[in-house]
Amino acid sequence: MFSLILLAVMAVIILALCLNILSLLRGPAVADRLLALDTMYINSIALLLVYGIYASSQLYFEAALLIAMLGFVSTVAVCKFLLRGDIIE
Amino acid sequence: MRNSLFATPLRSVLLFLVWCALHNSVSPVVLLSGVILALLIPWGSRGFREVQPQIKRYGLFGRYLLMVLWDIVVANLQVVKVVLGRNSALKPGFVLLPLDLKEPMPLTILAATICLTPGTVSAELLPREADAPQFLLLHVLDLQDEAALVSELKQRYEAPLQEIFACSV
Amino acid sequence: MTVLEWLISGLLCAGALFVLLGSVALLKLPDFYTRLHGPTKATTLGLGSLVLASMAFFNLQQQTLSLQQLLIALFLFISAPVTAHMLIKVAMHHKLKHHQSTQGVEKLPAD
Repeated sequence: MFSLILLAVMAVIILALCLNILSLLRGPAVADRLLALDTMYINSIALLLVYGIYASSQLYFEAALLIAMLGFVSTVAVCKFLLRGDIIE
Repeated sequence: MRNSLFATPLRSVLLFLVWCALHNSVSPVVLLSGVILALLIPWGSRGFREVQPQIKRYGLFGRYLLMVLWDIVVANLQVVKVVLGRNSALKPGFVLLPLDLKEPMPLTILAATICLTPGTVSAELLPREADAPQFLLLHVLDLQDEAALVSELKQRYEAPLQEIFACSV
Repeated sequence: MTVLEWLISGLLCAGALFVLLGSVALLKLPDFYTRLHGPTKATTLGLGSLVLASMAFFNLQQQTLSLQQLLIALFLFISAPVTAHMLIKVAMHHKLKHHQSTQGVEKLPAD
């Protein structure tokens, strides 16, 4: 029963990831795509957290921590690039 | 005082806790290395930091954090209603929040708080000159009463931050 | 199923629903500025409850010490406002269109 609930929760999060892919493809601006990518990072952390419970292993949390840091740094880096590298004023 | 090993107690304690959480254990080796690192890292990096106003009232700061957590939960439920409603009923808007705070550190905490509590995102500090009276530009998802929102944000978040950092008004 | 397992399941379901809601908001809302509210908010609460569930599972049910989830939550709560702030700066810099009923557009900086 408990593992069934875990599977259902994972299915919901994967559905959320699929919706993110849709909004990533739709855009229309670069900022929208960037926001969709950032949300995908966070949702994949959520998926890893639930999978860690499902597998009863704490190994996945370190991976989730790494994804959190990489996602943050890369989003901020792309934002910085869009703010300063793309100046047509 | 500034050069002593325990000059920034909050930073040292936080580093120690993060170290223990990263290792997932409280064995003597972890505790000892944690204490050494928590003292050495702030001491070694003291040259990198600018002088910021210190937190004067830790109890009030803890209460502030709990209040923000509670506000996140409550306001999330309000955002749910707005998001699930029709798009044509949306009333988004930009709001200028006049600021009494001046120092960068409390300002950063205020902007982060406003970002974290749903329905509002802090966008920019205006104008950019330092000596003119400053405003924080916010984007609000569901703007009903601008004056009420501004006074609530000032009362609920800015006033406690002024007390915590003991800034002169 | 024990009471604890029901509690964990409830937290997990709430977390998953909020995560889904953030993605739905991202897809549904009309312009970038409103879209920004969806994920940055819903995910904080969604991931918060998932982290709580995971903490309860490992510390109470499995009786093992597990604190790394707390670090994940702490890091996300610190980084989420920064990301949102940078994204809305990018949107204002690129002068993205706003929804027609947006109020107070004249307050935006001119440059």
